[in-house]
Amino acid sequence: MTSFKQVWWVMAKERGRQLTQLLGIDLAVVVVLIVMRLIGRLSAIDLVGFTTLMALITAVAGFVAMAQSQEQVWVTNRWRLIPVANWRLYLASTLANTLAIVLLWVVLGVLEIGIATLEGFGVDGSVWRDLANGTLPFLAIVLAFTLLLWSLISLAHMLSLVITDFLPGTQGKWLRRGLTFIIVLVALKLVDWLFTGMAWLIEKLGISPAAFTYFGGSVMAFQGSVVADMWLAVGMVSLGAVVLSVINCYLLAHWVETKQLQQMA
Amino acid sequence: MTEALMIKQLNYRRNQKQLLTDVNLTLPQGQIVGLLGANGAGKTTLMRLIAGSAVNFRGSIQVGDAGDAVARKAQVSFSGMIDGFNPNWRVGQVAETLAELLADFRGEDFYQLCDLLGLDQKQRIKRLSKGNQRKLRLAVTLSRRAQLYLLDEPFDGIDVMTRKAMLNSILKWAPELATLVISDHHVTDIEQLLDQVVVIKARTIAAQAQADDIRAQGQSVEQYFESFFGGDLDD
Repeated sequence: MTSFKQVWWVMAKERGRQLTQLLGIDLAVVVVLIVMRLIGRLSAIDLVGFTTLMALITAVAGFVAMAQSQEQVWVTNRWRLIPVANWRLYLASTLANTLAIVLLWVVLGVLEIGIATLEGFGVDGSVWRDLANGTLPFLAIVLAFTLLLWSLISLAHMLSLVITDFLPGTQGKWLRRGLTFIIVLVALKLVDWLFTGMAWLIEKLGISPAAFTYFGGSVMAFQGSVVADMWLAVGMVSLGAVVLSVINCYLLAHWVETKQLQQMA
Repeated sequence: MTEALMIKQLNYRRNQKQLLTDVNLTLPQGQIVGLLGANGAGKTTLMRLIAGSAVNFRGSIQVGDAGDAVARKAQVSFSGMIDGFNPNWRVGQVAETLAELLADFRGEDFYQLCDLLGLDQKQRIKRLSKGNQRKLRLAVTLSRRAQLYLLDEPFDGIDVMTRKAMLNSILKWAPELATLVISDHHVTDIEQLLDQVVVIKARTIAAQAQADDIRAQGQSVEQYFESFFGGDLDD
């Protein structure tokens, strides 16, 4: 049998390699921007603005790349024939994604803070106070939402595969596309219900809705009143991700089969 | 003698279509078995079910002592394992990764098989010719130390010289106690290799016989196989 650690390590290395390529593109653009700044073609505020925009684009591209890699795991023999339990495979893939994306965020963050500091938009004491108060739980909420979205994408993908398996094989690709569209709509409705449920919980538990937003979190963090609520929010979003993941693991074990590729030769 | 494979009352349905019906099959250890059938008879489907690529079936599949899917995957080496690797990867990278993931994958065997088959380890997968891609499948499959090997149409569209090289490596590398199942509908390619023949027709097992018994009756394996179809091999 293959251990969870072995699978996770191989996945983490591959995902890390993917994100390193994205980071390379980001760095190349940043270098060009710095050169433009050095030769006076760019103002300090423009440099910081453009590099921040690039960092955001890279982070989004990283999210999409990780989602794509994750979805391939469910339907390829390469991963599904490894002798490891389906829930371990799912967990390994999710943790590999998480590690890779967090490392990407850290590198992008360090780069942005470095550029901002060099340009005199320095990091003062308040940033570290923010970090200790509002920023850290905010980042945790972003990570929890990222996990929730990945699990939602997997759920939509797996459901479309399972339903397609029940449809007559002669149906064309348009039917499958239509089905995928409907599943995405249903998935979005599920998220809506999830958030409605959360709002109900928030009200019952007396959590400030500001706990879910950076602005609110950050401002109120200075007052030291909302951080605990923010961590509760992290817990609730994470719970949503866990619930969806449990459903995904069930589908993976009992219904989702690998794609029967045309032999590559 | 321990059985290498035991399938009982296997039924599999997909896309509103029955793909396998009441399949019962027992294979002993240490044999080379030809899984013969027309196009669409269910050979690949049966292999996918045994390997664990397809999951939603009724009945039972046991490989050696392994009954559940995870344990079975540890005992079966399927030629479809290569599906899903990045086509930009080099041949050697595939072996390195599999060696990290599979305790029974023998990197040394893989490199020797590559040499035997004339496969360049530095070549990217997408740059491999059709024949070389088939060789890669074979090398990956035979580099595991498994109880059961499943080779799905390994010689399809392969020239005579490549076929000979591949047949030689199968004979040389198949572990003595392991069972090899080779699916094909061009029986002449594999006829001389076979100890046993399983004919799959109309989505179920139509016959199972020892190759020597067939030959003793004055028939070739090909003639035996064709007798089930009356010259029409499209199922």
